[in-house]
Amino acid sequence: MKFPVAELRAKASKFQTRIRRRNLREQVACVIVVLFFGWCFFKNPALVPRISYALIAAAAIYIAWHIQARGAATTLPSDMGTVSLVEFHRRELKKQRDLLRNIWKWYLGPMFPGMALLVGWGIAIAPPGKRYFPIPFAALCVVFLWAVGWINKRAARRLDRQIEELNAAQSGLDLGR
Amino acid sequence: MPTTSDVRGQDELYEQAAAEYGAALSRLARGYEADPEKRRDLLQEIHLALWRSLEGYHGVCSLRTWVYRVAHNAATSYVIGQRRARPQIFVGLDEVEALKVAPDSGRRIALAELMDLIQRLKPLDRQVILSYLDGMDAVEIAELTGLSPGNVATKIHRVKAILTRDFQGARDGRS
Repeated sequence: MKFPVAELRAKASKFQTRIRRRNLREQVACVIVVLFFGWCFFKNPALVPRISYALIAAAAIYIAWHIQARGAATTLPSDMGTVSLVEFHRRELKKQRDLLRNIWKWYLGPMFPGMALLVGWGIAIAPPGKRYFPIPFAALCVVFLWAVGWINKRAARRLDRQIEELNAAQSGLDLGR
Repeated sequence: MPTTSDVRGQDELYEQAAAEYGAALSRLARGYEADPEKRRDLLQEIHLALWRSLEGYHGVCSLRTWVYRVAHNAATSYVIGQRRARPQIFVGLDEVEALKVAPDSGRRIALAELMDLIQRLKPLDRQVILSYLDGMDAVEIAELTGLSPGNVATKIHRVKAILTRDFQGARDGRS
């Protein structure tokens, strides 16, 4: 069985269009976040919230940049015909593992300072008696961030085991998994 | 930027590769995906990866090795993606006890069981068994996978044991 070259070319072009559209969607989302927090920045004269808005906007730009850089790597590598099957498999697993393992570095972490500062400021300026109102919300955020980090770390550990298996197979060892 | 002659060369190479190894690629896709509709998509992905890769083929290895490498690598990418969306547990060749083939099964049933087993194997073991069934020897499989020939030979020994014990039994049972 074979596919007409024209069909393959059309599929390749469709794939590129899909990637371009996805990138555009992410850029638009980033611009919306930056505009919103930029608007908050200019509306609020207080220093602390202004710093948090700036931090959140900067974090959104960083995350969008990271996603774009990762997106560039989602197209199939050009050396698929020269790299051995074990090496290719290991590389793909490592790429995925690093993305999961570093989620705090590129996704959760950058948002944390701005959000924490904003919540802390909310607590500080709340009238006496209502000062502890934002705490449940803050706790929920912390639990959510921790859960996302934990799930990703667990998935990264699973990938680590698969990478170890490939290393063992290549060196002729049996990990017995 | 590829020139017109590069593109023509790439297209011609693809035509040649597809004519020579099209059937092998279909068998390979069958080893990676059980669902016929998804399998067609996977096969198209493999052909697309092959066509794209041939732009960089400058005779560094035989066309056969190139085709199998690209196909298995594309299929591995597919398996990783599928696993992310729908976690599955794969087994190693060492963990395979026996094919569930009744002694009186026909060859078709035995083949279906064999395919089912291949689809449950870890990608590396799957690559070895599919290459072996496609007539490659240990040295060729070693070159393709990046494993040592000795390591491949051990895996092939295991494959042969499964095939002779279960597959032969099914064939004998039918006759």
